[in-house]
Amino acid sequence: MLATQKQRKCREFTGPTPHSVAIKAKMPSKRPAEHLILERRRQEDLRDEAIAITNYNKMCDLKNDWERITDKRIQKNTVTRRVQGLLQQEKFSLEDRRQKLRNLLEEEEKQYLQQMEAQEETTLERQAKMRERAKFLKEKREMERQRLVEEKLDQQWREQCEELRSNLSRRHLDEVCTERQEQLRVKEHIKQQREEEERMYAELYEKDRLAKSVREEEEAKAQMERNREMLETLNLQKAALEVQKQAAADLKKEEAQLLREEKELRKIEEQRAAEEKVRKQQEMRSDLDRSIRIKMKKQAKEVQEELALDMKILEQLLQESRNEAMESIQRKRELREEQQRFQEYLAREAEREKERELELEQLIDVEVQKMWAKRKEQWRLEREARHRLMSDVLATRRKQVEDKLAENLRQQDVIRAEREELAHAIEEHKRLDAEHKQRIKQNNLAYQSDLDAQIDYQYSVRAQQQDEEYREYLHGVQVEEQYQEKLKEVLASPVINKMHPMKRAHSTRKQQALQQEEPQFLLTGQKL
Amino acid sequence: MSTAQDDRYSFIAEWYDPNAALMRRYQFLYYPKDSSIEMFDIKNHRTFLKRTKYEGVSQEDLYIGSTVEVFSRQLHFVDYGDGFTARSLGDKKEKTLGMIKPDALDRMGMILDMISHKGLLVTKAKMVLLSRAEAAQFYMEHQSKPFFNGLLDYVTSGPVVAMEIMGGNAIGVWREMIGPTNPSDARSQNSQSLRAKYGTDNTRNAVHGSDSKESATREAEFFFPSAGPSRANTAQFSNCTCCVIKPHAVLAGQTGKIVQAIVDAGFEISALQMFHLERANAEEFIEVYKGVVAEFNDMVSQLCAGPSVAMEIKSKDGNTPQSFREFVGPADPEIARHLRPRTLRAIFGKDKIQNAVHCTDLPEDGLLEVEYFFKILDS
Repeated sequence: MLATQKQRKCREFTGPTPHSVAIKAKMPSKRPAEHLILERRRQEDLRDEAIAITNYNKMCDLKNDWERITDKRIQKNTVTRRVQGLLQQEKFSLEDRRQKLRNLLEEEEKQYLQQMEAQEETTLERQAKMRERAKFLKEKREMERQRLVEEKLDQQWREQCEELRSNLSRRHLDEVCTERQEQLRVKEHIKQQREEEERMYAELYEKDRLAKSVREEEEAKAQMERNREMLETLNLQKAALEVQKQAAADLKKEEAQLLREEKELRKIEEQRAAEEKVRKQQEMRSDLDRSIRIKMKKQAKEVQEELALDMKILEQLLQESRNEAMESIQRKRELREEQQRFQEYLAREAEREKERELELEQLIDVEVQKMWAKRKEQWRLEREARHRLMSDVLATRRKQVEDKLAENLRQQDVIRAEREELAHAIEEHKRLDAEHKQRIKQNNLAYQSDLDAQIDYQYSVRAQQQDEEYREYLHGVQVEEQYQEKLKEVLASPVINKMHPMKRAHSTRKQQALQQEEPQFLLTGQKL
Repeated sequence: MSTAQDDRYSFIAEWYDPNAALMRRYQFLYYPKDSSIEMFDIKNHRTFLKRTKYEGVSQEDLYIGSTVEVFSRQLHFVDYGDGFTARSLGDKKEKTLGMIKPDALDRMGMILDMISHKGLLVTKAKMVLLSRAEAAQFYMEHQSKPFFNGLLDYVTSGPVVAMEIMGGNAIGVWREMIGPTNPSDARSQNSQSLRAKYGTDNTRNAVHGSDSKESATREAEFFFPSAGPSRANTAQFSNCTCCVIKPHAVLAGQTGKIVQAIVDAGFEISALQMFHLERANAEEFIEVYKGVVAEFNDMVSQLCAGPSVAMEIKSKDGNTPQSFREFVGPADPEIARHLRPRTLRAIFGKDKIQNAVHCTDLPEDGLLEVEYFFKILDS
């Protein structure tokens, strides 16, 4: 879009030439002239209206609040009032009920009291009852008296009636007899029973005794058995001890043997070493000898051979010379010279040979020495090996021996310990045995003392019994005497002051009658 | 029992502090050697009561769920305090559940009496009318058995009395007491057992007993839920009077005899439940006696001294409170023995406070008292 084409939104309009600008005229204002005043008035009106409404609302709120609070208060008060009323009513009804209850209980109590009182008797009634009771008692007493009288009358009649008495006494006698018989029978029966019982007890005792003796026998047997067993055990122990001792001795012997063997071994070793030395020396010697011999032989042979050859040559030469003797003495001479030279030469040669021989010998010597050294070395090694082997064997053997020795010692220790233990056990056993015996002895002693005490007690009881019997006898005698005396006294004064009044009256009457009749009869009557 | 030198039983006890409206927890220690007690405040970590001799607590009271009063604070044992107590008392205080079924309900007294004779203790009891669904839930394990339907018909035919029974080897002893399941077997094997005496056939066998520890716990939880709503009671709230067997008679094991005497006299026990009353409740219950009788405070103490058995009594004649009151006799057993020797209080009462039973005195209060126990306390 071009700049010129740009629409303008303002009132300026550019002309065709530069700096030619036109401004569009403004539209006149739509608002009236007193617009601000009017506006102000309108706003004030609005404000007034708002204030009025607020005031009105405030008023209404106040009224509402008041109404609500008042309503609430009224309601609350009403409720409170009603509750109070109800409570009051409840209280009243409770009071009412209490009152009722009080009345009821009082009434009831009164009623109960009345009833109680009604049950209680009045004075009159009591008097009547007492009278009744007195009457009843009186009647009862009267009745009792009547019964007594009747009884007494009956008694009197019985005493007076001779026939009845004789009859009764006979009956009584019969009864007594039968009862006595019964008594005797019962006594017999009791006696039999007692005898039976005693027999039974005796049997029981006998059985008991037999059982006891059997038990004792068994115990003795058991004791003997135990002792025998003990003896066997002891013997066994002794044998074991013996065996152990033997074993110890054997071990000692073995030790000695071992020591001896060791010694022998050492000796053998030493001997062997000496032999070895000797043998080595001999060997050396023989070697040396042989080498010398060989050398000598060789030399001799060589010399002989040479000599033989020389001789042969010489002979040949001599033969030739003889053949040529005729040839020329000159020549002979020459020859002799020659021979002499030759001999010289030979001598020289022999000398040289000898030297060579020596040299050879030396050479051989070196060779032999070398060989020897080698052999010696070998021997040495062998010997060392042998020696080592031997020492090993010996060490092993020694060790074995030592071990055996140690074992031996240990075993000896063990045996000693066992022996000590055994000795201790035997000691203990002896002690226990002694204690046991002591206890048995003490028991026996206690039993003896018990028996003694029993015997003593029995004696004392018997003595006391005898004493008692004697005292009783004395007392009996005394009583008898008193009785006799009293009897005599009574017989002398025949008046009984403790008598039934009726009987007394009766007797006095009788006495009077008798006195009137015959005064002397009285004594006999009383006695009867 | 063998007591070591420092033998002691420990329990966690709760006390409702009415001033602070708080449940306070204590460790309660009982020394059987000299029957002394000691209390320790768990929250504040300090001794609450020094070791003191106290006659009001004996070894029989030591079990979970029991209530003892110590220096006029009612303590409720909620748990064992240590392993030793749980071990040594756990066996001796074993719990089982017994249920008296509808046909044996009129022999309830004899059964209760036999239980106390056997040395067992009834710690909870409630008369409940089971609905069919509840009975099915209770007899869950017999669901597939052929007799299930008949059993439900029978159990729901009337109210049952559920009891939590406690004692040494309670499960075994109670099962021994009730005898074999079939009453005819019971009659041949154990003629003294409850089923032999009161049962008729395999289903109508008079009583129920838990067979194991687990089932005892489950069934006890069924009848006496530790949380949530309890089973509905059978109170009818019409023409009724209230009778409460007081704690001294319950502890002396006379509950059975009293109940049987009530039943024998022709009264109907339409609701029964064992309560441990708190002091405030006891005061509220007998508020009408406050200021009327002089022994009000002693009466309250007696009512909250232990478990008590509340019953709703109905009779055929129109005026139940009056007739039952006559049957119970004068409040003072001395007078009762003198004037009405055949009444309940004459037979079972000891003195004016320990007079065996409380019964409604005002005829119009009968309903109120029954409602107090079976509507207010049991909700």
